[in-house]
Amino acid sequence: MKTLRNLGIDLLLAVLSSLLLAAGILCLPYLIYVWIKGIVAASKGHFPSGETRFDEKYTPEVRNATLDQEGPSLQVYSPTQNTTYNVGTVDNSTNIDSHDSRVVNNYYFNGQPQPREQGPLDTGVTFDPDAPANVLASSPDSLRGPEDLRGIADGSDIPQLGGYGSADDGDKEQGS
Amino acid sequence: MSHEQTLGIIILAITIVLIVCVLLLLAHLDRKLYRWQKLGVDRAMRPTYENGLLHSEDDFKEAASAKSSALLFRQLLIPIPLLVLLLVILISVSAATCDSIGKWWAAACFGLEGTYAEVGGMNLLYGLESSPLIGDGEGYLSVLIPILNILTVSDLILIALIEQGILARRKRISEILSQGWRQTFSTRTKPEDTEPQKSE
Repeated sequence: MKTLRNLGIDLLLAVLSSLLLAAGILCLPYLIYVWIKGIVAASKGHFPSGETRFDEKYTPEVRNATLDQEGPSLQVYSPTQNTTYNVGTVDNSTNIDSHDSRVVNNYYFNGQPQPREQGPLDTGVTFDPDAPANVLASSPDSLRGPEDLRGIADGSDIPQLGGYGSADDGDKEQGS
Repeated sequence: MSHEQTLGIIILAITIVLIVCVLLLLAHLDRKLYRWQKLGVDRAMRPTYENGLLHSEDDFKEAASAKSSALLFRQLLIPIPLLVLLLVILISVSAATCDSIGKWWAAACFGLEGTYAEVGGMNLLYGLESSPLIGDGEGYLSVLIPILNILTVSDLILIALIEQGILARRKRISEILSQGWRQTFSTRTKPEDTEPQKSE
């Protein structure tokens, strides 16, 4: 039965092949447009290689945290996301792996003071507990509840963010 | 029905069956190619997924579309200029050497012309003979124009297959998104396993 069905589809395709070829020819202007666009990009030194920002080799980057200008919060820049995230209170000597630093803010986010009556803000991202170590792999839709962020908000467990350990751990794993 | 008529009908039937068989084979191969083109998304996206920097459907779609577009450009890099070049040569050669469509067609048919015989009311191809439209010293046209025609049509077919590739990849991207991109990549290990075996 399956063979008969396949044979029927093949027959239909065979009959339609000339129409498909005609459709292909009709789409030539689009293909020429893609070609010209690619050539222009290549001439500017950006040959379309298919590499995206998601293909950048993961390299844990450790940098000293700096206190935000206002409130007990911290900004950490995540190069892969090209975004600055605020995390909980730490002191100037705390090392944080910036790839792993997408946590929460308490009352201060994106450089703006937040209304305190609403309680500590979460920035919509947390860690995937099943992800391998040092891999940032969660999205806003997988946000955990505020109870998971309590320790982060007061800065008491920054070295254990999402179970990834301290910056030293990140270095070890990169080297291994 | 005379013997000639019967023979004519048998030859016609065999010809039709052969043509249908060849078309079926080509369609079958094209379906296999389509499936392989679809799985190109899985092959290209698996390392990206394993890199661990994809966080949402939008990220996946962005990366997959960028890779598909780049692949389209790389595949078109040679065929598009080649097509333009072939068309220019073909038109120039035809305009310079053929003063009528009939002569061009005779040259395109390798300088041969069919002879027909009437069998049972049907005009069937009986044999081939040299076309009178191709004069002495113009034999090279019977080689040059068919070669240019074959190269141009082959290039067009290649471009159509490349175009089929981008449609296949678009379909696969939407399939993966509807199935859940995390599940697709986390539960399968090999690209060929990422799509359930099914007939299309």
